[in-house]
Amino acid sequence: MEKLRYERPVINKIKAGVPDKFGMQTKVEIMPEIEGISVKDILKEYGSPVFVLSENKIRETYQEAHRAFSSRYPKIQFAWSYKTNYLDAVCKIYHDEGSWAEVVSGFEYDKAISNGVPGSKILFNGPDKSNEDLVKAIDNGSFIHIDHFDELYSIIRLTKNTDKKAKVAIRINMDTGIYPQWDRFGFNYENGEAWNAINRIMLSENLELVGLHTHIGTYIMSANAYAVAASKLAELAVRTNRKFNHNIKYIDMGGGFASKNTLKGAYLPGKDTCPSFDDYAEAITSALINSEIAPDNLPILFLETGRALIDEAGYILGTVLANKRLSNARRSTIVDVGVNMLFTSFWYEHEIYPAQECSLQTEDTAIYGPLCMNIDVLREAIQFPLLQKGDHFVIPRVGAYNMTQWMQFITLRPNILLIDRNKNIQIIRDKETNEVFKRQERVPEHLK
Amino acid sequence: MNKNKLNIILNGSINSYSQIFFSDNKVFGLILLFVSFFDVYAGLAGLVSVLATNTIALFMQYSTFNIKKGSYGFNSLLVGLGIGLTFTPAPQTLAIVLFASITTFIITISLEGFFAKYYLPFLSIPFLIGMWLIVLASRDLTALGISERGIYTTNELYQLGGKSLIDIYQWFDNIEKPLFIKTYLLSLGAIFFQYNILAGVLIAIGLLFYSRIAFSLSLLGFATAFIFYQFLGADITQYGYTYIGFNYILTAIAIGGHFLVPNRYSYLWVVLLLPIVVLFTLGASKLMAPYQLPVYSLPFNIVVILFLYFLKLRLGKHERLIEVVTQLNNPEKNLFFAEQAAKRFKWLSFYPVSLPLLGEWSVSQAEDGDYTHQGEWKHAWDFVILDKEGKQFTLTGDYPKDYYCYDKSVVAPADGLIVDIIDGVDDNTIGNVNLVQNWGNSIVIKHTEYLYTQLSHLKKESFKVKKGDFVRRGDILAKCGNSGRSPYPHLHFQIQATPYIGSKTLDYPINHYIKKEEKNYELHSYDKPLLNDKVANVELNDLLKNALNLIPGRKLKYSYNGKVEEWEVKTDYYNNTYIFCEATNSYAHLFNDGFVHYFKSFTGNKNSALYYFYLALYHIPLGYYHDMEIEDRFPPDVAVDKFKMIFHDFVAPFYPLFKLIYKMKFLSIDNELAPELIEVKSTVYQYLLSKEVEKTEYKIKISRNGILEIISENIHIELISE
Repeated sequence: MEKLRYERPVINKIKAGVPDKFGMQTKVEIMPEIEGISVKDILKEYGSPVFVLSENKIRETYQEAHRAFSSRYPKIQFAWSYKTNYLDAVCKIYHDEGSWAEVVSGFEYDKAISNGVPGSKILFNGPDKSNEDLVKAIDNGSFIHIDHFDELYSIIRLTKNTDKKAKVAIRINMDTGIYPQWDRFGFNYENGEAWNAINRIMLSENLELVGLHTHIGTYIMSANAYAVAASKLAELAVRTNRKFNHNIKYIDMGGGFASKNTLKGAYLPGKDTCPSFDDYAEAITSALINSEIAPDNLPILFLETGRALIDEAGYILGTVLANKRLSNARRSTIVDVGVNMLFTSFWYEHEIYPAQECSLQTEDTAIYGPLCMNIDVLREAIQFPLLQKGDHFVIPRVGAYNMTQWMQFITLRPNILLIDRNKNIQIIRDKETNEVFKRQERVPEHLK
Repeated sequence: MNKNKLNIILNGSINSYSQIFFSDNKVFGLILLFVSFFDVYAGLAGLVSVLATNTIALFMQYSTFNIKKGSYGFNSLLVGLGIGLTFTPAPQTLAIVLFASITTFIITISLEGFFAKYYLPFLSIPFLIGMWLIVLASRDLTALGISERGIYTTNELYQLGGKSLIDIYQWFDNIEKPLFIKTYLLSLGAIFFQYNILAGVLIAIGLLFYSRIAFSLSLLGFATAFIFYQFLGADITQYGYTYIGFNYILTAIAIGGHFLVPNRYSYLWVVLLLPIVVLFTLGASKLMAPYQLPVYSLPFNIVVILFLYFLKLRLGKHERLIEVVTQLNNPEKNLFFAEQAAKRFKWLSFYPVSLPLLGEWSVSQAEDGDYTHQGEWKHAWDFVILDKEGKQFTLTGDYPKDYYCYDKSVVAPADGLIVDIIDGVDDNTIGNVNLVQNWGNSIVIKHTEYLYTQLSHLKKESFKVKKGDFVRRGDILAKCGNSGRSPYPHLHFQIQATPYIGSKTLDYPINHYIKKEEKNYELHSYDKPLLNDKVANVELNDLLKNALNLIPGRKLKYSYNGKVEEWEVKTDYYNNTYIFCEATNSYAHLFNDGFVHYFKSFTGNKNSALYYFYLALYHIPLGYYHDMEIEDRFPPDVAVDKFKMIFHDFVAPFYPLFKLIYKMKFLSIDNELAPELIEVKSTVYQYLLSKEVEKTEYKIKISRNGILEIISENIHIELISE
């Protein structure tokens, strides 16, 4: 029999309130394994901390989202938002499921091409596209989502030198009744700029207007905002058809669907308040089907949702470094996962689960990362059991953005693992070493 | 008289000769014309009758189509030949010939009108009446001298062709011939009142040239009768020079290959009918004997008309004994056309009805289903939406809203008028059915006379249309629900002939739909979805739609191995669209219903770009489905050479010796959303029996400008843009 763990005595204030029939629940759930594989074993073999992605979860979530839309609307196409997570292995899973690529820079564009995505299945977004990027996109028949008039003029100028038509869409921003209104990207709907841009494109010989695109914001908790946006795009499609007898081939509703993480400052947990894929799908597809677009010419509905597809499939596993008392007697726990790799902890109240049996007692705890930097806080306050040095924990729902927005700061970035469909662990990104950094640096002769 | 009218009369007159064998072949007609002049006076009398009849018909404004075909002239021709042979040449005889022609023509038109009501031919009844009339009347017409020609054949032949013709004739006569062949040839000649073997031989050659099927039928018919005579102990030659044997030949051709599509069943019926013709011949001769009238072609007329009428009163579909609807005056052509008609042209007889669905649905109950699609309601379909695992619902499936198809839009299957709507029936809880309001919320749309569609079990208060609205194909009607006799949400769809909810169903196909299996797509045209099929309407591709949108007036210019051909798309007054190439005098008739393009036929020069255009683009769907394959069949004479076709024709009614299979496959598209180039491969396979003997591949490139290029081994056809 394993030796019982020593548990330090704690004194807890009794928090009054209405107990439920089970009494006051303070016990924190534990997560000793991921997809049946022990957290302890993973950390032992691949070091701590480590990111883990689940291929099954990625595919399941994708299929759930796809089903929510495709069972409501006949023509659905997802485009994987590269910036959310552009690990090649992850992108390839989405492409395997049928996703196109949505990229926002020349770097991401090349990445998509090297992942085997044909140019004709790439949506090129973003305000920053160099002339070289644009020429490449035109040649490959990619869909360029124009962000501003200067870009439109560039494209018109560039197509004069080639016999290919540029296939374009425009990004449109609009008032959908939510705050903040993202008006920095694309052409505004209400002030007529979007219609103006459509006219410019339709009248230029070398551009083909294929689609209309909007992306109303991020982590949008109201499905209705999407219905408003879809109606406005449909209205533009109908107007284009009436004026130019030209069918808009696709309407791209962007992304921004909320994942089940809880935003900072939210009163209720995200998993209880966020709309489901079905809610978003119902709002968007009903708006399109009920629009005046002729059913024979229904545009393909593109979705670039990133966060809601991958967040759930990612975990970060880490180890407790130390415990200490703060000046106000609150406890703090220092762990080896910091904001350098868990960028999203700036926005989310991430849930943290111990990875082994632990005390039933919880205490108001601050969880700090390992950086020697005041901002490195994972949770300001969380009811958390006491973990001891060397204990492990799991932070779920970290698949989105962390593996692209993370930074090499103070420490090196860890391994990223994928649990594949056969429950085998594969390293999909090696942890960084000093060599990696040395290779990039140059020391001037006089300093050598 | 202008050139055009003269043309009609001359064509009609030559065709009148070949029309006796149901043909409109000019060469055959000329051979027969020549044979008729074996007796110069008879030949002249025949020619006078036929010219007189056709001229009168034209000036009295009877159908120029029928005049040109020779349908009006051939009875008069026979009467003229008969009179010319019976009476000595004299002005009186000429007068009789003319009046007899007019009489025969009047009878022809009257009988045409009479029989047309029954969709029956008048055959040579006008000749019988006309000829009998003259034979009976002539007994009092003493000014007419009875000719003895036809009895002293050699005298006449000498007058016609001198000693050499006599030599040929006698050489023929002296060759030892079996009785069968001799009587067969004499019977053939007898059709033209020529009782000699040389005439028979020439007619037989002409017949063989005109149609191998007709020739083999003539032998089959005659042989059957011959054997039957021997079997009964009667003598086929007993009627001397009246040789009624041609009755057997004509009956065989008429039934075996002209009025019926030639196949094993028509041949079988020839064998069954011929003894009956023999009985009619023997019986009718006895009946006519007191009046001293020959039976001529009476048995043939009676049996053919009786039998055709007998067939017309059948019920149900006829797949074995098939009547020829579009008469092409050639058994081979009738056969090839029937093969095409069964597969391809049947499309034209249906009003196009699509699936009432948006996106991909599955058939949960097909025709003759296990649950409710039975009896008079068996031609109906139930549709649901399934997920990848084949489940109809998510969560527990305890509520209608758990079902994927619930609350999904259903659309109009074709243009039409909303004639009835039932609304207000609540959804059932899962597992329950509402047997009182059996059909639940339903809608009935009228498309044409006697063609309605009904959609049932819809969601309460979800209708987007109202009674009296006109809807276009694809317009949203309502949402799928769970009302009426519906234990779980599904859409019931049926096609019916009457406007009532719950009318009995019609056996009617869906115009085009895509069946998806795994990652394969199959295009089904004028077919019916089966149980568990995953189906969707065809999604059109702009590039394909535009390239094959060959509307009248469109002009095309192609280079063909360096030469330039200019085409124009035209349409005739039957509303048949065709591409016409003036330089090569070629026509390619086409069909395009907005979903599929195909060519109906090609006539003209086979060394032309248009011919290869026809072969390569024989059948192209207008929606791009990657890797999807289409198969079709050409009529064999399109690409099998003439020499091989002779062998093909002989056995074609039983088994197609040569088969031409067309296969088409979509190879690539450069951009799914905004394509600029689509590549298609089509292949023409030639099979001898079931062995592939020849294969030609065509690579086709399609762009915004149309069909850009067709390339095969030796052929390079390229669009020349203006």
